[in-house]
Amino acid sequence: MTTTPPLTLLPMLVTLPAIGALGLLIAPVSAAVSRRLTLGLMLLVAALAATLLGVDTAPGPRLWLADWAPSIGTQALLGIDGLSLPLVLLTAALCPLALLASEAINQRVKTFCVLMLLLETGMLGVFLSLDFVLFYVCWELILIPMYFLIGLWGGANRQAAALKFFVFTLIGSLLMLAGGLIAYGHSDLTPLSATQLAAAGVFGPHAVASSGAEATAMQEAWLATGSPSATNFDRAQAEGHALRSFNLLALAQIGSSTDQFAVPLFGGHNAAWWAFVLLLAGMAIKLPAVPLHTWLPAAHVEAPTGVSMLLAGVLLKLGGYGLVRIAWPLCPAAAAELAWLVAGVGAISIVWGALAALAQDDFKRLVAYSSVSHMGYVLLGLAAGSVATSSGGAWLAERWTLGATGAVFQMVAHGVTSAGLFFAVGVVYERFGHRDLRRLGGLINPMPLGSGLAIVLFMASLGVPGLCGFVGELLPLLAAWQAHPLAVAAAAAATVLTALYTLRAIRLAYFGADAPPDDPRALEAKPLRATEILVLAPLALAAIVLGVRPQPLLERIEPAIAARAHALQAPSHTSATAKLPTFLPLTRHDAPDAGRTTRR
Amino acid sequence: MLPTLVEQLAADSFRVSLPAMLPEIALCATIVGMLLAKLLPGLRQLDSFWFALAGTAIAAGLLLREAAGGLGTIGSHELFTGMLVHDPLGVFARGLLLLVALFFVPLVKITGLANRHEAQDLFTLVLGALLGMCLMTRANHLMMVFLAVEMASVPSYVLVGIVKGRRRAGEAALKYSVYGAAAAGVMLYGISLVAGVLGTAHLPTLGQRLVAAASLPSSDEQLGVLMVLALGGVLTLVGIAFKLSAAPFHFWAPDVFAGAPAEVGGFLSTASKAAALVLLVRLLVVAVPHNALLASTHKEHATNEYTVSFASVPPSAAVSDEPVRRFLTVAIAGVALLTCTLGNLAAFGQTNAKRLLAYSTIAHAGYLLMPLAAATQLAGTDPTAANAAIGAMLFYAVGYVFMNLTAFAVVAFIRNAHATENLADYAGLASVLPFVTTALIFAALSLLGLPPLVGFFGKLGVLRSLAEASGGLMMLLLVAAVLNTAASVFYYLRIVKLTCIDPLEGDPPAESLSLVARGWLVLATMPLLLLGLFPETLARLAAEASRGLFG
Repeated sequence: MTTTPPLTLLPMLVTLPAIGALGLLIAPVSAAVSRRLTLGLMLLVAALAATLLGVDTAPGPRLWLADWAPSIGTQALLGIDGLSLPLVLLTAALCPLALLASEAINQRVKTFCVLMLLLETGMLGVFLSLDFVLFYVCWELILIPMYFLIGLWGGANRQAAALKFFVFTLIGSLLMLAGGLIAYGHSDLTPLSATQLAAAGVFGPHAVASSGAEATAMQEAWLATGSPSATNFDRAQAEGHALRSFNLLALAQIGSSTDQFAVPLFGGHNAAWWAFVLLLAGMAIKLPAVPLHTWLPAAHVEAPTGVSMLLAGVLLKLGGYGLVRIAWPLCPAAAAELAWLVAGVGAISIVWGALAALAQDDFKRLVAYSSVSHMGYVLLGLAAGSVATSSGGAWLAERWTLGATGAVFQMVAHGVTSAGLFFAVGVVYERFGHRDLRRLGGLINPMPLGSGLAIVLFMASLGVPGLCGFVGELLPLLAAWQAHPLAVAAAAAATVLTALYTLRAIRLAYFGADAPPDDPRALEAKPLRATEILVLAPLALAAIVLGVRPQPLLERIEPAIAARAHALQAPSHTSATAKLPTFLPLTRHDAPDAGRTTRR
Repeated sequence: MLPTLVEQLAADSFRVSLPAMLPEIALCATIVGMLLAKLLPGLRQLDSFWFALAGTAIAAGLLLREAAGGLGTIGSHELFTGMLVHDPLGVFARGLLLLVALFFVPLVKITGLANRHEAQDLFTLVLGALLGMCLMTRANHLMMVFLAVEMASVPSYVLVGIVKGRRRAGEAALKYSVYGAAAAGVMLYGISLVAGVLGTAHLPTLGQRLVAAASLPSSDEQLGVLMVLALGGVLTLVGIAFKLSAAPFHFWAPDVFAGAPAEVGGFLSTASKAAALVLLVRLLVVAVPHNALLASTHKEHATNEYTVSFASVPPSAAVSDEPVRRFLTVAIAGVALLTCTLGNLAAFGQTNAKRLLAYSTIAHAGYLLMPLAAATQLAGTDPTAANAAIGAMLFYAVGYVFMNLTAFAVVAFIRNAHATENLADYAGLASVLPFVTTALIFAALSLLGLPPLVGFFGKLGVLRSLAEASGGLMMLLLVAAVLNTAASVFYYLRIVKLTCIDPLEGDPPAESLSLVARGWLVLATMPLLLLGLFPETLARLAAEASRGLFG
């Protein structure tokens, strides 16, 4: 019997920061102490998250399940698989770094710490939730702390920026909610096979990997427990009415293996189409994709450094993660139908973001626009194909596996580089009190280490081979090439623009004439402090490691994506994903495992 | 003959009906005791507040005893020869109303609205209105519907103008009573039409005859009957829409809430609305053809001699695509959409806190009506889901009570501390009134529907019931509700921004909130978070309260 124990670590990860925030709120501690406590807690969370590396995610997601509000139809279903693991690690690692980077915050420090902890809970919750309601709750939980973090500690124009952030992202998440509810309203668990239900975690975390007769046995055992969800299932089956579900894994099964979402709705389109459009619109705002990106530069420019790091490093990943986790698996046919739109938006984002970055003199705004450009690759990679459905689409699924793997890799890579870059900008801003590229220059001499690390990160963001950005940009382009040659051509051409604005920024900020000795700038350009090195060096190191050896990470991501994409098919070892290593000369020698497309 | 009848009546009243009326009797006794106490020299000095508090607490305790075995175990039976009904929904709704009172009575004491000498006026009116609302939630007869609505309304008119000598308050009270009288008249006319055509005012009987009338063979006569019934139904609904402040009968709300003391606004916008919603459910359950009703109708055919005129209807001819249900679904959905959108859009430009909250209550009336539209549509096909939609509405109503009471109470506290109800003067208040503004932010974000606060789960339940009902109209309503929520961000967030992020102007005095006031705020605000984090208990109670309504 294949039983997998539930992972009690998952709820701990999500709730620890929130409990810490509550404790901090009540405890009468000074600013310095609360900062240290928060850092300690964040490091603890990071250490706990690191132990997840030891969890074998190959047989499918590892779950933790509790009845939360069965009367509302929702459960506390948390899970970790190859898709969420890298992003959880990224979040857990970036949070303490962001707190370290917030040394300049000296007003209302305790409130700041509380909000950062709440933010961490929300972010980890999004990546770990496999129930739509819980996912949405965590998604929205991020909004309030972020609003205050920008609005209270931001720059001169912080009010407008915070409001813009809040309004844009709330509208986005509400659209997403509507999309999810449309899927929910058309779903029915009862026709799914026992194997499918088991894989969706309906029978509990133990039964995830069971199939066939074993799954049926699990189902019997589950029905015999008489838990609220089991009773509901039993009654729905007996009375023959539909049993709706918010379980994302189950909804994905329904989306790919049944035609429950194919009910006509408005305008000649079916429910799946509308759900996809709403989900896509909501998540594109969060991503952000042109033309819904305007909140991002404003928010970044006003946010304090540490908050900017999390905003770029983690928050921008939520949209992409939601697309991979929810939009494509739930509505594969609609995704395939609208792939041209997604690819087009992706290419436009890449080009537009690069052009906009080229025109900036504000260092931080430049990095912000480069984020818009880089997130375009995520869309492009996803548009490469779609999840296979009962009516076929194996070819699409193979493309999608490659593209989505690339997209997730790009998210992680961008999380590392953009967090580092925003910190590098923060370092400059702290020393000079401005971020005007025209008035900077020659930083490499007074600050050799800081400039060197920053340049490594810039190169990684530019996509220089051997650094992490290269892999993340190459995979989506390769995957999408056949389906959307025009979009890929545009995106590939835009890499020239990327090089232009990145090199321009490096030249203006770090090279150029040294400041004359009597210039106050020369005095201000002090070398990095120890804490600053502590923040910047790991990020630069991660950029190099991920670039040189992307394979361990890809091997984590790819099986999870492939399992999603080929949910309906037997494991196939001759799929397109087997080509992965040949595209990547750096990794050819560790091929034996890379051709695996589904759970072992 | 006569003695037996009297005996039967006495038995019915004393053994069945009165024991199920204990909370109402406690309220009556409190009102009378409070007034009589002023005549007795020994008790004259005693603050009426204690009477009111004890009375509500006793009533709540008696209600808890009624529900001791759990809501699910309460059967449904008629009281006072069918005038009222005792069922889980009634118990739940009265529990909610008494909860509002338990919060409201201390609130007016804390804010000073109930000062020592005039307190008994205020509390008499409040408890009187409460009594009327309790009757509204268990009305089983059109006569009771009208009487209960009036009993709840008339004290409310006076409550609005309770602060003497303020022109705005007087104007508000006058406006409210004139509008209210007109609405009551219209409603009474509608009731008389319905009762006249169908020959009964007893709601369950009325439901059965309605089914029979709707399934008569089509002829000019039947068309006439249906038109009169539709007119009567619409006119009756007008009266309820007025109580709900649903568009297009919402015009009184902003003026009344702006003129009335904030505390009274809080009471009227929560208790009165909850009672009106439950009354609407009661009427919907009889007006919408559904399986339970149809089953009982066919039994009725055999026994009731009045329905002989309808007896040509074959029992199973019933109602494949009932015009009644379609008509009501579209009507309620339309009103909900209009109310919600108008409320949200009008709230944008408001500068007065109470006016802003008034429009917010209008918008929420719209959200609260949406599950009723879903239930109406679902009633014929999936009664379980229809009941669940009513449960979603009840859940939302409970959450809404807490958030709105908190919001209005905070407006009262800020008025007491800074003598202002202008939103512009709220700038930067978080630094001088941290406690009060925290409560306000919780209430505003919950009204907006942000998780993990209870407002989110309320909205989620509403949206879920719409998704459950599916179909074009419901999906339209769903998207409209979502867009409306998005629109409401602007004004709810403005409250947060004003109080927390904007700089403080001038040098106002620091917070001097009594311990009791702080305790009240904590008790009213905590449920927003706790019911959000752990919604299961309330959701289950609401589901039990609505079980079996549509069969």
